[in-house]
Amino acid sequence: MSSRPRFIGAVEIGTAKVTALVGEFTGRELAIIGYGECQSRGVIKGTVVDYKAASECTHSALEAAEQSAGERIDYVFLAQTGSHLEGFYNEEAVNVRAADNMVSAHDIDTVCRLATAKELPPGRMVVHNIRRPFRVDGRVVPGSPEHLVGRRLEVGYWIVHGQENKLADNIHVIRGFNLEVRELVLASLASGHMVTTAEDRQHGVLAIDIGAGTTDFVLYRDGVPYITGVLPVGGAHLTNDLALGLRLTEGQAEKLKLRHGRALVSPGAKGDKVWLDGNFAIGDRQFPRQALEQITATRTWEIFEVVKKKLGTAFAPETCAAGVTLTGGTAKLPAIAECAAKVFGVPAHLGEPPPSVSENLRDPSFSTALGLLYYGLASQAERHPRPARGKLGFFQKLFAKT
Amino acid sequence: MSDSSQTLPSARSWRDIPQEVQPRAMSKSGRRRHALAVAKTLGGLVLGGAAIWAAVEVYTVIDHNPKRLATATQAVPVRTLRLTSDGPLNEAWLTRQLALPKGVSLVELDLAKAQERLLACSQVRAAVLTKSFPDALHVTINERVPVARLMAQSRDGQLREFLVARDGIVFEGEGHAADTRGTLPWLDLGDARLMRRGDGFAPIGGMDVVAELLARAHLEADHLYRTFEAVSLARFATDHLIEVRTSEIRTVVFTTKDDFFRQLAKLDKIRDELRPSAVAPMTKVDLSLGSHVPVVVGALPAPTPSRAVAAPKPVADPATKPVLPAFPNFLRASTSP
Repeated sequence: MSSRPRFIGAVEIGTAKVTALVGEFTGRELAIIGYGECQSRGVIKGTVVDYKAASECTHSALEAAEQSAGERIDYVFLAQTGSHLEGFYNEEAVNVRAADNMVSAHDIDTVCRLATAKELPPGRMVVHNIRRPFRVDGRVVPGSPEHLVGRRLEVGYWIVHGQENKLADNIHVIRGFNLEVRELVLASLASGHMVTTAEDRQHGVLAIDIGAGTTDFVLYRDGVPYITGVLPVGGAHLTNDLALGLRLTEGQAEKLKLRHGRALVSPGAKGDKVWLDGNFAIGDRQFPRQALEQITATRTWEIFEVVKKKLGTAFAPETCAAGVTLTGGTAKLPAIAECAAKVFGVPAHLGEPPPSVSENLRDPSFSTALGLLYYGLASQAERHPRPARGKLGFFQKLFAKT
Repeated sequence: MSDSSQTLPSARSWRDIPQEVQPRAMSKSGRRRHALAVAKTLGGLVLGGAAIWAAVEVYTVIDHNPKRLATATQAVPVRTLRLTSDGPLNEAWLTRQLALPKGVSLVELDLAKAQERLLACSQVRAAVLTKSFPDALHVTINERVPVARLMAQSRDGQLREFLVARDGIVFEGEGHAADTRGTLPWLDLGDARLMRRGDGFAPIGGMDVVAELLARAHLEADHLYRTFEAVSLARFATDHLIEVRTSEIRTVVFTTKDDFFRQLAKLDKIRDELRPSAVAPMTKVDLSLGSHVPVVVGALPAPTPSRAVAAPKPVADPATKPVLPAFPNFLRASTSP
């Protein structure tokens, strides 16, 4: 690892806004030194539909982030979402080669290669190969199975794949700013990594990131991502339903949602009225609170129901002891945790980033970008492990001793 | 099993997507970043190249001539004078002409002054001086080529033979051998006088035309040129005529308005046909009238004794007044050495 710090950009091209963070990575520590935001354009349900518009707002966010950091970004970790992303599970098993039945690195490598060598339909590309724990003769092994004794080694991968042209569009938007995309990270994995603890993930936890256009979820079990998914619905659909139901413009509906929307109908809502603007100006009018809350609550409930349906039998309250963790911009909707708890039948709460994250970045809408930096670095470290201790230089050894 | 696993087709990953985009697909800020990155790369390459070049240069200097820089400032007296010339001047003349102070070093030597001293000799047309450290001075000179000769009074009052170059400069002709001088025709200025200027003489006008005639004769009709004894400019200014006395014909008149080659050809033809001899000498051939060439045939009149022995008289102020009839007579036998 070179002594020069690296400036890493984390970019989330969302439906409502583009977020860019700049992290300074010294090789040991990561510090968030700058961020930029821009209202998103040319993106629908997490997919780039207008390259130029999407490029302009993304580049504005990147420029703002660079100015805020006072440094130039070296490379980027990019969040990926969209309904084109799908996943499937593939499992393979090998017989241990050694006569003494001791699992070797070669056995591990072989079974991993077999499990990931799955042909995809034309036009699809692998985004993530998420490994589940190894099993030796049916026994779950949380870590590496090397040197364990058994006759059969099994491993399964949750393979996330997406449409090639949509992935390329996202990458080219960043490349248009003359920056390299080093890691492409599923948005649910990034935000889930940020708002859940290792202990939660070990016990089992469902992390749901409700954005404006999409809802990303990841179910953790045994400390690793078990199932991921993306729904093409989010906070924008609540706004849309409000606009249709109350005959409002999108802007008015968004304003009402933010001020009076709830994920559950409040007991005292019946007969209560809310003002559109509250300034008694021409055009300002009243709406029944119950009708408003009914719409947002129904839609939120539906979103959770669809998530639950997508998870299917993989989700069971007894395997999800840490409950449900909610994040994303729509997670700020009042009573959303109670709503989620009722739907999933497990405790639910709003996810919070680690205490080390500064106050202005603790908003749930930043969790994906923050998680990108941490998850991206972890992925890189996994793919390019640091040199062994024996290969350290003389001075590094000296300082390590002192 | 391992062999089969190594040949498994791996699914395509997002990392297989080519990330390069054309500059036109970049935004303005992206293009700016791209240009900056290219400029930084080029700058780095240039700096690297310059560093390598400098290192090579330093190595070359140190490796091949380690004393070059150290000896450049040492004040060593000039020991070697080397002359490169296209004429007869030699290093003895150079030493005499430069008259360098004893023990002078190259650092002290004023090249401009030294060049001025060399150019003071009218035989030298151009001079280039080069300091070759530590102790050598290289001089390259370009000398004037004589085309004719004349007799004139030198500053010490002696009547001496001088040479005339194509540009009309009169010079002493140091180093030119007597037999070389003997092949040159005499120059008669007619009524014009040779004027003094400084230590030498003022340039003679019209010499470029005379030189052209002589050169053409020398190149195209050397058998005629060898008979040329004297060239007169007496009618040059007024009639654009050049009169040449040859050993066979007393006066051959050339005009400057016609091609010299054609006139020489006519002269050659007339000479071949009429065969001048002592019995039937040709007195005058006038080539200045175009297709008509009057030829006077007859005995030579006896030379006027007073003109034959007309000795030049020194003038009171040689700097402002004509010196002497530049040419005493046309009898080669009486003046040639």
